[in-house]
Amino acid sequence: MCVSLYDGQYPDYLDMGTIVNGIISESTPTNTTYAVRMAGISKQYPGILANDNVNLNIIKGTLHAVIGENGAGKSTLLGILYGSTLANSGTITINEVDVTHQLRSPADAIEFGIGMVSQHYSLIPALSVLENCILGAEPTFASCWIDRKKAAIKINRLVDQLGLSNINLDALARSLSIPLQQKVEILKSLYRGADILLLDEPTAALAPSESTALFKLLQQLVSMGTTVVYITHKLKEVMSYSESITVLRSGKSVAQLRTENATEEELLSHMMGKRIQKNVAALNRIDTMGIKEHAENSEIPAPRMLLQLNKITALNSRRALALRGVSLNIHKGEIVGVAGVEGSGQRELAEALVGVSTIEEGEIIFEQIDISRCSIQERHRRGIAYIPEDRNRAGLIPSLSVADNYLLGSQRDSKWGGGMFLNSSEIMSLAERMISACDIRTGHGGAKMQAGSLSGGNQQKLLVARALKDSPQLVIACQPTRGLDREAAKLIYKIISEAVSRGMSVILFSSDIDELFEISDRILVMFNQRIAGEVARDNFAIETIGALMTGTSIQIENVTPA
Amino acid sequence: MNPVFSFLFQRLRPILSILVGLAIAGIIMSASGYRAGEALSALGSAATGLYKGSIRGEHDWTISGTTHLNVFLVAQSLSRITPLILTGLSVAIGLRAGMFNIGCQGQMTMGALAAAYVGQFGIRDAATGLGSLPAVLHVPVTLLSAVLAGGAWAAVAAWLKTKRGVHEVLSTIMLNYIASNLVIYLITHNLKDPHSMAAQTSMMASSSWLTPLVPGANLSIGLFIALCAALLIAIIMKRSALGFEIRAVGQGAEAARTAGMPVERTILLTMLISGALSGLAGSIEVMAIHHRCLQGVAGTYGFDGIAVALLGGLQAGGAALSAVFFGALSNGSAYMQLQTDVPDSIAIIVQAVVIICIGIRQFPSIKLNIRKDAVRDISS
Amino acid sequence: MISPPEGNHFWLSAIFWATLYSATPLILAAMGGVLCERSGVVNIALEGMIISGAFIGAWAGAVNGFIGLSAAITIGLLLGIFHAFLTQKTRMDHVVSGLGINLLAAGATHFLALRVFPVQGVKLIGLPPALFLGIALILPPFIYVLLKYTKFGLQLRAAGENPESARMAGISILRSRFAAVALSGAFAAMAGAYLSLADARTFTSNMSAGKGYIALAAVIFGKWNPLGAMLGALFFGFFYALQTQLQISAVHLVWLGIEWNSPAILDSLPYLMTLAALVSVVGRAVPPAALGLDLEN
Repeated sequence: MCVSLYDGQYPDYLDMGTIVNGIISESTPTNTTYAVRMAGISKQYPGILANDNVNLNIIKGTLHAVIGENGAGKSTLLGILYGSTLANSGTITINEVDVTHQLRSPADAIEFGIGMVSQHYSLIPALSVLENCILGAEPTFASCWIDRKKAAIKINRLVDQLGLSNINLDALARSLSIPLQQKVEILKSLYRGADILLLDEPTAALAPSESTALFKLLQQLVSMGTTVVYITHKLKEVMSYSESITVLRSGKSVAQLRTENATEEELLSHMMGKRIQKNVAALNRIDTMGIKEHAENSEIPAPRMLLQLNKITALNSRRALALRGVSLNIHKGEIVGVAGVEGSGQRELAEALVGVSTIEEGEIIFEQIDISRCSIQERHRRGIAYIPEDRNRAGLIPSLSVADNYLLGSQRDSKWGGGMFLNSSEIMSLAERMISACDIRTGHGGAKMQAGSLSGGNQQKLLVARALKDSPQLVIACQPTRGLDREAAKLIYKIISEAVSRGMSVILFSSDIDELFEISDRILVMFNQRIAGEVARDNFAIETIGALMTGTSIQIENVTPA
Repeated sequence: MNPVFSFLFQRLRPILSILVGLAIAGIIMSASGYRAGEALSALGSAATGLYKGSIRGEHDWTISGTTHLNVFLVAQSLSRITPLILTGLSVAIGLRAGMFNIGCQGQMTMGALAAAYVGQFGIRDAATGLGSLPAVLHVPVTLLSAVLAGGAWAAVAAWLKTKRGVHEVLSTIMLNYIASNLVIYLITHNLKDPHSMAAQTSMMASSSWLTPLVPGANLSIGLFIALCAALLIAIIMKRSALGFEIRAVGQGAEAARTAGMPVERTILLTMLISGALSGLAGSIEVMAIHHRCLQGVAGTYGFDGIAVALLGGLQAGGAALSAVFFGALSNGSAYMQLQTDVPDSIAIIVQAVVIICIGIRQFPSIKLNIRKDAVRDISS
Repeated sequence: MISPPEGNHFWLSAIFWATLYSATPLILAAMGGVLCERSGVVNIALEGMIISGAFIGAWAGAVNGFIGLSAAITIGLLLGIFHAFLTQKTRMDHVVSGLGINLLAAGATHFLALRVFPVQGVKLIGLPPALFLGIALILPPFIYVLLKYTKFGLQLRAAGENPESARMAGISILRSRFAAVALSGAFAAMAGAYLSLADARTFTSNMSAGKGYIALAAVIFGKWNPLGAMLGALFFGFFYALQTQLQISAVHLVWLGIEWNSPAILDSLPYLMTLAALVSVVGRAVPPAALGLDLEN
């Protein structure tokens, strides 16, 4: 399973740390050079401990995977290593030199030979490939003119070494495809002399074949002596390409192991924090069962249909196809989870449903009426509510009060104290009632507090309360508990499930599998801008969903969802 | 910064800005060789109407002992405050929706033009200007025409912004120049007063004039119209659904759109109201003071509205209060120029300093060393 | 529509030269606008920088035009640094800062002009307009090269497109922006010096007459490219030239009952064309991505 191009031998398995009941016991290296050693790293954000005494040890010249669920603290950890985030405590050693106090900015990290390919690529779209590569490290003559020739020679040498082709150095970054942009990001790091390359979810936006190509490239880099660290939550990538693995869970490093000694099952159990009893071999069986059952379901006289999507296609902001013929049905009173690797079309599907973006083809039938050309307001009036993913920009207006944010959108509705003139005492009392019903901690100001001053969990409760206040028939909830602690998340589930018991339906977009398992009646899995399959509650298993998410399950390929 | 100090500082900021503005004006005057103290006291005396010594006019009031109040000067200050309240409101309501309307000058000009035109309706006797329409009808119709003209002129900028993406700052500035040239053309051609050599429109019918409040001064019941407008805007902003939409669009257009608010319509409506307020200011100028449209009828009230709105914290009440300051300053500086030869443009300098003082969002030494990196959101 | 008077050649060549000279201050200021906006700072303050340059140029240039020009450039640099300080260090809204500077410049130049210049107006020996025209024609390709081929230009563009990425690449955004805004002030002030020292040979208040704003429109019209902005400036300059030429010529044109050759109509020509140009071009022009954004947000 392990496809390693690394021809050297690991000195000793024990050097990677041994796992004893999920706790790492460190042993001193004998003759190993570590490119990175981070010890006891902690990072406290308001309300959340993102990294809790995390250890990360990476042997020079290896391909190391950092895995964990969403919110496990992976990006924070790499951010600290790149100097873009400052840790509260812990030590950082680069190439066996303690740099804890020197590494305080990305510029410092670059000095120490660290390069970063961030999740949201940092190329400047309006600059050319060459300009992006040399930015901040320009070769010049007369200390002012950019020496393009020199730069081009150096970049081309790197391009040749890596066996890349088709890179036009004068092309604007915005004209490049996503995989190509990523390659340029890597070039940019190498140009600056990086010998430790960090990649944050490098395959999140890549198709499977593109991911394979990327890992081939990374392995080649490793064979040239570079150390590569990448974040992922796709186990296939970990098992196929990495040499060693660090598993993070809830901000803690819970395991550090060599890939050749690890199994997917073991990794999953570390990631999820509970040993999964199901046999991985049962994976495919479960898959087929789920799909079959789904097919049968559609023949049984169905419960009342609420929403029907017929072959929806949509474009994203880059005018690329973001939804390729998505069809689905939602019945009254069910919670349907939507899972998928980030960028598989979930955001676009949610926005198309709510009316934030328009669809190219297909129809959206809600209660027997085609609403695909209706405005956001019109859809809201018909009973579709929205909990957007981006709380602070698309959801709340942070500078307005809690009461105002609660009113937002129904300011012309007399039921909520709106109308031509606002009934502020009514608005306040409704908001106060909502605050106590949802247990929102506003501090001394009550409903008059600025929404921006609330904690993330309380902001989210406010957003959920607003979405539910008109007793909608359907709620589109996007990552409603992202960044929230367990307690706050539970309250949000409670608020939602109460509304569901009154007949409301929910489409829950989430990257948190546990959350989907906990409250969904069935889960639709998106892959590659389509719905790859559907899993009924009886068949919920990490393996099933994971396989559908990565598009690796053979049986899935031929199945067209309803 | 100490929180108590910070709170006080924010509260006192408008006053401090004014003081800094006056101090810098004083420094500039002394540096250019004027007697700053004398000039400032002349300015203050003309602005407030207060003077010491023996009583000078028969209408003047005695405040206490040797301090007297010149009612005429107070009226002149108030007459300058009137349009400033309106243009200040105009800029303020635009900014509340995120639209920087610096076209008040042009909208006011168009309002003045429309009022001067409609004010000529129903003239029976061109020589005496006696009207055949009752004032109760003629005055509202004239005001309404100015409101519509100002609104329409602003709507052009709103349309360009929402449909074509033209930044409102540039479009409104161009529209200012075009409005002023349009007026110049019309008062020298189609609407020129045939009985006069001067470039101006014919005298409006007296039935469209606003009743003066102090004989001989420019002050009219227009002041009450402006105050009513301020009250109305305050009510709209605080109590109405439209005001709520304006605030929401200005503070977070994306969240407003996602919540189902008509963002484009709100911007258009806001600009209509903003232009209407400036148009109203223009009509009061012609209906109360000039009784006809002439070149430069809008003075600099449109531009002054920016300072009024910013000093007033974009609030209706605040705009009215800061209009009092800038109106008095403008009147005071005009009299100061007559009495001491110090150019009245010192008032513009005060305005500029006030705008800059209000605009500062953070003091470099206090906050700049907070690193953005250190507070970046987590996501993984 | 327009029938030129006798001697077509003279008329055309007059229009040609008048276009170049009318465009000179617009080009100079527009180059300032390009530099400033490409670095991410909105520069409404061009207008104030022009009038300040005109005033200081006339004041210090009473004896020697070159001293006046140098003084104008100096005041431009200072105003530029002030604008950069306000927007970058105190996080002031770029438009508010620009308007503040414009008002300050308008007030101060008017105030001081009454003090330092004689009542009947100042008469200047000045500088040859051709000097400024030469600079205006050389400057755009120079700025183009500066932006495209130098380290300074690359870092400046990066600061205007994506300050976060630029910071990640280890660039000082503040240094780029301060330099760009200061230079933009210098160019705008040079445009002002042209108005007072070379064109009018005197100083009058408000002699900038919105040229700063029109230069900014030329920048947008030229899609933030210095050569495009120069074309935009020439386009607007043409309408200034047309306006003056029609005013001094005996052309009389009445159509639809409107006297099209009246000064008021002709005066609005550049503004109308600016508006028309903005309407036609803006939807397609992409401004620098971080233009006018507050760094902290």
